[in-house]
Amino acid sequence: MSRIPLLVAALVGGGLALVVASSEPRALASGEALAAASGEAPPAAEPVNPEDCRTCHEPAVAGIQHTAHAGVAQRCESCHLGAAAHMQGQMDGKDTPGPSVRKLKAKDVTATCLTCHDTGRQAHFTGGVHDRRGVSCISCHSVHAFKSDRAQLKGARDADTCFTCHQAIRAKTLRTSHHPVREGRLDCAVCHDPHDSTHPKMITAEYVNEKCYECHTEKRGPFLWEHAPVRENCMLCHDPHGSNHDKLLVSKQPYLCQRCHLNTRHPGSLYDSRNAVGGTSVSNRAIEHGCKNCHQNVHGSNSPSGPYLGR
Amino acid sequence: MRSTLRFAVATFVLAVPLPALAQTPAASPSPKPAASPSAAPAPAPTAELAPSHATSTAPGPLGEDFQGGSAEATVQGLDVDTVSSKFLEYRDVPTGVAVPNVRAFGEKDRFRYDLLAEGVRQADEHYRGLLGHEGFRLGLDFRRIPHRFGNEGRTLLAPTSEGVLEVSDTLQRAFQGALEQQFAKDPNGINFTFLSGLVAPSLAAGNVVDLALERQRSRVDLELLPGRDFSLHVNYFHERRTGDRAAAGTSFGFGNVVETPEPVHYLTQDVSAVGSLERKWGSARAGLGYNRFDDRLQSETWDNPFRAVDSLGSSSSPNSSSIGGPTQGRMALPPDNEAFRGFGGATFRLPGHTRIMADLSLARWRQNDTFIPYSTNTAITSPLNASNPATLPTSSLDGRIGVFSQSYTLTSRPRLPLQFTARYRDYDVNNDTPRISFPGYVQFDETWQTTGRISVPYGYHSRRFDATGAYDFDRLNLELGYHYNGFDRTFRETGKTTENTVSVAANLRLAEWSSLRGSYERGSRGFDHYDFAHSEEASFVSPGTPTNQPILRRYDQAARDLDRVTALVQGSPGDKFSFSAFYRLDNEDYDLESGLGLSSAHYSALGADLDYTPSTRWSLFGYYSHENGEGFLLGRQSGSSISVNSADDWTSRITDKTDTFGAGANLQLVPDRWALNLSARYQNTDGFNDLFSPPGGSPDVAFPISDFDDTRLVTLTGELRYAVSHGWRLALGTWWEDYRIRDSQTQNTGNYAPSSFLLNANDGDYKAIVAYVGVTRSW
Repeated sequence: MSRIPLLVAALVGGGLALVVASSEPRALASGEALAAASGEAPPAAEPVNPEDCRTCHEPAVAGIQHTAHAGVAQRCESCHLGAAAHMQGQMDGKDTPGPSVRKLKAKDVTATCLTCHDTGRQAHFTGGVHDRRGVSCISCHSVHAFKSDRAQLKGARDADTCFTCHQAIRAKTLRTSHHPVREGRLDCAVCHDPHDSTHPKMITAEYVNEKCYECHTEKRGPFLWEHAPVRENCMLCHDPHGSNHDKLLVSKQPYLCQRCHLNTRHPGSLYDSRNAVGGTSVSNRAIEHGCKNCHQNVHGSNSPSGPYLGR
Repeated sequence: MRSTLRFAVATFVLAVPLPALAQTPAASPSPKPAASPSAAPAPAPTAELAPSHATSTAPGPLGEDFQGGSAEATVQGLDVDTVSSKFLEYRDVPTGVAVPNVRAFGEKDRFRYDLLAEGVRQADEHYRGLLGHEGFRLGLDFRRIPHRFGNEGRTLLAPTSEGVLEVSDTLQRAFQGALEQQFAKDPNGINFTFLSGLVAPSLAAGNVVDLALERQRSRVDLELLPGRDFSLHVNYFHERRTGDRAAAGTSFGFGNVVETPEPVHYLTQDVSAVGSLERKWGSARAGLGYNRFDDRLQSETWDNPFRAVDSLGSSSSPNSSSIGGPTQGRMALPPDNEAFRGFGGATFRLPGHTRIMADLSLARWRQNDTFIPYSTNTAITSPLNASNPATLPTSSLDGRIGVFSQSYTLTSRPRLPLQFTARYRDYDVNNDTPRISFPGYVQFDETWQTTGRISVPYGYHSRRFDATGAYDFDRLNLELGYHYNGFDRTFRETGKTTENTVSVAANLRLAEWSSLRGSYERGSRGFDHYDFAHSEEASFVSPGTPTNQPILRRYDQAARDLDRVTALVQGSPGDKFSFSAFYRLDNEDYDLESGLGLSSAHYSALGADLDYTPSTRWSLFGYYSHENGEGFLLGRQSGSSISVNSADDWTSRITDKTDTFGAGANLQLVPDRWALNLSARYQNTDGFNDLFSPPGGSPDVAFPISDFDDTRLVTLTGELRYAVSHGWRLALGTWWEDYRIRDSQTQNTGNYAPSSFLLNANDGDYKAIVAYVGVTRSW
């Protein structure tokens, strides 16, 4: 209970600070600001006409045509500093190099994009693991030649984009027990925010369990009889990216359960091929759902007769 | 079928005049961008993606009104050789006329819209609408997600009302009578052969059940004043989940598992509102949210095929010792619960490319559903009437968990080559649910157990601190890091575990067109003390002798060394070729202090991707990865008392090796006219459980399991496209899929195995081929 006043005080104090500090609105990104940041010459007073750029860069201009980038203040020079000089040089017959964003270092690319996109979740990109590993905005996004319906990604779906670097995860999503990522029913961005620097593994929730509860809300409880590792971390038993074992389990029952339960009698017993289907001593602790054949409410039970999670 | 055809026709009738409103004809698809050091190789398409549709944009001056879209219809045929649920696990593959995709988008008078329909009127249909103007953005989304667990399971039970599964009284009386007769004649005759012979004819004529559920998800997302200094974001989520979950392990004891489909009738709703303020100094955000889960069913009740009359039984009934038991069992289904949350945060931009981010979140989770009685068994009347809810010490849990989360991040680049980041996260789950003592409980609805139990409200407090410092040496960026994770637990074996990890990472620009990223982490976890009995004793009113192995170290708390390695090299030498190769290793070694438990867990993976696009006429891609997973478990078998004899030990080394391969080609046979897309994907996993026990103890010998979730999936796709004229395209396509699983524990169990009624629903092998012709209109 004592934390509520603390939170309220923090919010009120923060709000008061905002009111006191409310200054001029955030300035729209401008070529001048970008130039100052990069050390380049500031853009010309009149922005370069994209129709002029289209003469040589038809596909790039066509690609930006009906996106929000088409309406930025300094047009092409919002990102491509020196475009005017490049165009003039080309018209003069000089081979003035083009201001390609692709040739910039990752941090400079990110700085370019963040002059406008330094809001919301993108504001947390700086200092995050992607930023620190030299991944820039155009590693995943394309301003001129995107393939996705949303977010201007280089892949048709965000999973395709993520898998260009996270190949091991791609392989896991192909396992027999999987979230419906490969079927297109779930995207990586449902659980992860690739721009985030504040949450471990960039989970879009305060903690991994809270992320799981968004779709598996029946597991939140609390329950009368709790199962401690379930309360603590779903990933102690499940691999959300994919597994060859049923229900995304990291190992197969009963062996998974025996990592923690070696009690007297049946929990600690060895179950081998003799106890499997067709064996000489088939056991319902080894076949089908293993331990869950009896201990159905493994995530927690609300039954008065459920201390062993069997009711 | 007829209505689908009408819809398809209507779509095209609608689509025909729309292009007339467009200013100019549609442009051809944009070419592949040139490669760069930071650009990723071209992504590999997947078989599950719908045949690509032309979402062309009309060229014209930037920023003016425009519209575009596409509509696709197909006629499709399907041949699949089994009823395995695996083929349609998360999807619908219709036969006949289908409308895979319709999209319309554009902007008029600064009002932007984007409407999408996928899988129209299919079990996996998806509709999305995005509408936007200067002052708002509205997103509407509806989708159905099937989840099929197994087909054609067989059971004696039939639903008589929601949540109640019954066997006919006649059959129950017949089975009970046969058992009583045999028991009177020769109790030792109550064995698997007898029981199997008794139930087999009825099972053969039993009810067929498909295990599947469906999610129907809707979302409304409204953002007011997006991109402005102040914006408000309101979100509402609604999901109905109905069907039968993969079978419940409902049981009447070790001798009588009765697998049933667990009924699912859930409703989840979430509403939240977040206000955001953007200023030159940074931003602030605050919001509230409420989430509610409703389960229409409080419990599942199912009949005991072997009992028509309640009686007392034993946990092994029916066997040579006992044929008693209840006529029904009842299990509590997930209770209704709700969560309130409030959150706020701020980001401050400071000089020197420095920013500070702070976030606080407070939540309250509650659950207070009425308890079901101890048992359905009316024969349990001593020491209390177990079927009467009035004998319970209390009627509900009054469950409450308070969650407080704090996160503070500082990131700075004070001088250009130097960057550092520090982050502190605190996540506190305070489970202040009142503890409830029960004088005993009913085991398997069979008998009253006099052992008093008390509920245990587990909670924990996680503290994480991460600090990294990096220096940019122009082509090389080097980062050093330290990470701390302290975890306090209540009612567990350990009070506190702490893990310290150091890390080093490097990004090396090998050339302008190539980069290498690598990282290494070394972590070590320890605990303050390990009391093996603490957790077990916490749930007993009067703890007796603990039954778990005192030398077991549970892997979520055991001392552990962690090594993690990642490496990724990517390159694009020239515009035509790009490649990447990766390696990953995760090693967890547990210090069991010469005890038992999970000793080690390893995972490694390596692979490569290649993409070759020599011209706009054709491109090739391919990828391969190999993964190795292994877990090594030390166990010990005990009888009625804890074994201290190492000869009773056994080990389990579970391995799985996975090979994944993909390849494809995109060919412009005749530019802007004929195109051919081919792809193939293959994955094979070989699992193995290598079991061992030293001679001389019990079990004395162990036999490995070789068919251990071995699976193989092969998918081949091909599509030939023909651009008839501007805006019209025909497609002829096919895909073939072959799935196989071999597992000794779950495949081909039969409907009655020793001591178990099993549904044996089919989620196994299948081979399927789909062929389709399609037409796409784009504008």
